[in-house]
Amino acid sequence: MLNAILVDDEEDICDFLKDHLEALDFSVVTTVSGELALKMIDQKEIHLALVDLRLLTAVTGLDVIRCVQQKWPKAVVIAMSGYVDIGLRQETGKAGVHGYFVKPDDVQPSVFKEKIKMILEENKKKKFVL
Amino acid sequence: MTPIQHFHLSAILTALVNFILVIFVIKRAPATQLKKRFGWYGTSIVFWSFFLWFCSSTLRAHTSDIACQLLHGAAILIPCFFLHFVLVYLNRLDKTEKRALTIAYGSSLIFLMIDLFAPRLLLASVAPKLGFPYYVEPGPLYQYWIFLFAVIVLYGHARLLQGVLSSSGNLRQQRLFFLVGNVLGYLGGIGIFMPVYNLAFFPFPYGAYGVLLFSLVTVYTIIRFRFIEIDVLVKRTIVFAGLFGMAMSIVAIVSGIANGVMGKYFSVPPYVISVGSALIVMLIFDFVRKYLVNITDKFLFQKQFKLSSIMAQASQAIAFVQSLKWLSRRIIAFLVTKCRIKHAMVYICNEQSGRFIRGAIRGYPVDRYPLEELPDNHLVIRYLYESRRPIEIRRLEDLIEKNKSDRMAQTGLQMVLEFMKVCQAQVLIPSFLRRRIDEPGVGKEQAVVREKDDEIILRNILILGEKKSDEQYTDEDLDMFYTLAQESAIAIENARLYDEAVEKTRLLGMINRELADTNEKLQVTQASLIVAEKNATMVGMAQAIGHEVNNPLTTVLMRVDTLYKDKIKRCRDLVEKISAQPQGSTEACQKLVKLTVSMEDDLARASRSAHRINAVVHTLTDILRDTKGEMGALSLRVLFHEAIEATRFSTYEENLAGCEIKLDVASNIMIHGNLEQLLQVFVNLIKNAYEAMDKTKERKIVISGDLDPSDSKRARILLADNGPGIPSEVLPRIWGQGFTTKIRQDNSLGAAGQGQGLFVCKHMIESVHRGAIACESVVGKGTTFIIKLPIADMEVHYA
Repeated sequence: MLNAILVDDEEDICDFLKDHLEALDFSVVTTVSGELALKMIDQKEIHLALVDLRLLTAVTGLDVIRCVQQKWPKAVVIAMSGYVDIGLRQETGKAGVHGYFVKPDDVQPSVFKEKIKMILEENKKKKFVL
Repeated sequence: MTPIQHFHLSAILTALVNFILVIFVIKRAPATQLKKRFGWYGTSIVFWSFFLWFCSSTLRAHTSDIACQLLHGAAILIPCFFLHFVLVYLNRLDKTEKRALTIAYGSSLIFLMIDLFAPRLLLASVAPKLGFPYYVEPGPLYQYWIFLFAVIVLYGHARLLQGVLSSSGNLRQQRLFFLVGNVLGYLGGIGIFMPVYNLAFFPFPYGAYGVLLFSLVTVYTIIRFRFIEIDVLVKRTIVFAGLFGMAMSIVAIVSGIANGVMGKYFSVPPYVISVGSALIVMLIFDFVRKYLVNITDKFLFQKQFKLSSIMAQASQAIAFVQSLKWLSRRIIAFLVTKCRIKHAMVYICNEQSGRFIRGAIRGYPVDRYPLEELPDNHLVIRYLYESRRPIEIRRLEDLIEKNKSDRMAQTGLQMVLEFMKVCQAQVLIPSFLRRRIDEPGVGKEQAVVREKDDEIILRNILILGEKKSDEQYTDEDLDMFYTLAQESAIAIENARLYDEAVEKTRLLGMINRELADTNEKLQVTQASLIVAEKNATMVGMAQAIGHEVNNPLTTVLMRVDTLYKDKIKRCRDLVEKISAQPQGSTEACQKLVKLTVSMEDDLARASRSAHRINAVVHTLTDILRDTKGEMGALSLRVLFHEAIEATRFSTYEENLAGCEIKLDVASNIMIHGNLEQLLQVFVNLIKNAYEAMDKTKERKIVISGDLDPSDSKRARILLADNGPGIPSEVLPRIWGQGFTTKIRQDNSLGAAGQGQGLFVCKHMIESVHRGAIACESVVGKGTTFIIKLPIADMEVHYA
């Protein structure tokens, strides 16, 4: 069973994407709070993380991303954002995420599925056990 | 001319020349020993030669006899005066010499007594001989006297010869000439005495010419070697006499011509002409004299400067404060031109290094410029500190002579002398100042008397060369120059300060220019900063909008997509299945119901999100529209962005500069309210916070918004600043109408300090919006406004 964590400040999006990820055979935990996210990361192994960069808490999306990378280096990390900001983009690039989703475009059901699959495929090639 | 006539001529000429010489010396030479001695010597020669002439030319025996007595009286004294003069001249009046002199005087005096009271012992009689009407017949003691005469004279000459051999250069020449003159004189004198013993060969009868020669050689020595300090006068008088003679001859010619003309053509009687000429001569005499003085002034420097006028001119010249360079040049120029000095220069003490730098210099040949700089421990400077007086070269030489015993002192003095010679200096004049002005702003007298109150500092050294008139510097001159030097020291100090002031002004000007430049740059930077901030805000706005709109939009799209692509189809399938098999479709029915519930949920969410988007867009676009108090759903976040922007605008140049604003508002909070009013409230609060923090260093406003933990139907907004805070006794009164702590500035716009702000805010929030507003504050830490506003009900549109 593969675990995924979903962090977004919009609950709607969390629910929606949860359904879709479960359809892809992931066990999903969701939260809107960065702090809770960090706790969840500690609890069990994460294989996939979808993190919105704009969180409302003191713990930012980037913090969550870095935490996941530290704790579960093999995890696939995808950053999401409603607004493409070049500065933010660069930072996430430095952080080394596997994908960058732009809302609402990349989050449409069809598009979403395709993209996830593609990213997972790529990672398989990189000696990744999935 | 017969020999006798020569004899007479030479004698009378000798008397005359010596007489003039003596007059000159007595009247004009400075009152030194030397002058006195020469005076006596010269006078005795005058007497002697005069009476000689008289004695040998008168036709009466008795007169001749008397004259003879007198002439011998003078002759007895001549060698003594000669010896005395020589000793003073050679500066050899020590004990032994004095003893010799006393012996000479003593013995001569005996003979003088004999001559006056018992002349027959010396002079037997006068008798005609050798063509003279009368001449001396020697008495029994005559030869003893001759012997004494010879001894003294030889002794004198021996000393003189010694003097010649022991000196060098100018001095040697001088002494040599005088020696030669004297030798000639006395050799000639022998010729005078020969007739006494009826000897008629050479040097008789031209002997007196020898004496005359002696006088002339003396004159020459005086002029050439500055024997006695009347050489210039002698020079001058000769030149002047010549010119005067020329002028007078012209006058005579003119009047002669006038005479002739008048006489010839106007038949004026001769006495009238003579009177007329005399009148003309009298009238123009003074004019001619003055004219001559003027034109010869350049060559002879007859015009003696009047000390007072010189001083006045000098004071005027140096009173004008200018740069140091200019001033020193002016002083030197003054000295050279007005005071008629050949060359002059000045060493000025440099404040910092203590060394003496050469200032203005004039009259020196270019290749023989003296030292450019003197270190502060230079011998001359130390000597000046000790003596504190002007140093004149000849007086220095005298001093060296006198101090022959003290070796150490002498070496020092010698070196100073050397220095003066190198600089071609006649006089060194120091100028001292009493107090060192190195404390700025010291304008009042020192209240406390310092120990070293007598501290004086050498400021500059004036070096003067020879006077153009070749005269020596008198004591008066030195005093005057010393005073001048003191004055100039003050002027130099002024000039130095002036230079400093000029330099500082220049530096100030430079600094000012740099400041102006920097200021310009700063303004440019400020302008670009404002632009950057505006951009930043816009970016922030764009971010906010992007986020505020995209999130709900995602929901709408996602849900609609699901509905459209998935759930509706399943609905249709199930409906077809049920309609196909109405009986056994319980399961299908149940599934259908579940599906519709899910679809309902999707649609509700989509609807809510769509409305949210609507609210956000309205919040942005309704800014300019007059909402007329309409209440609607507003995105709190966007609202605050707007408020911040509006505040920036209303604070004009301040632009909310220097204040950090942190916005921490959840994006999905929609509040129910009127855009305009809420904006007004928020702007007011932000502005208050900003202005209250006027004196705070790191200004910060934190705006946070979330759901009220105690009431989920309300949003809670916190507006916190880190300003000075509001004291607890003032706190309850801030909502009152007319409360203000602001002083109205002249150019501020808006209701600065009219006390309406918070009162109105309270009304709007509480009455209009049915919210709540409160204030908490800690003095020294900051103030927090707490606002509660109702959440907009997004579901209100569908029952």
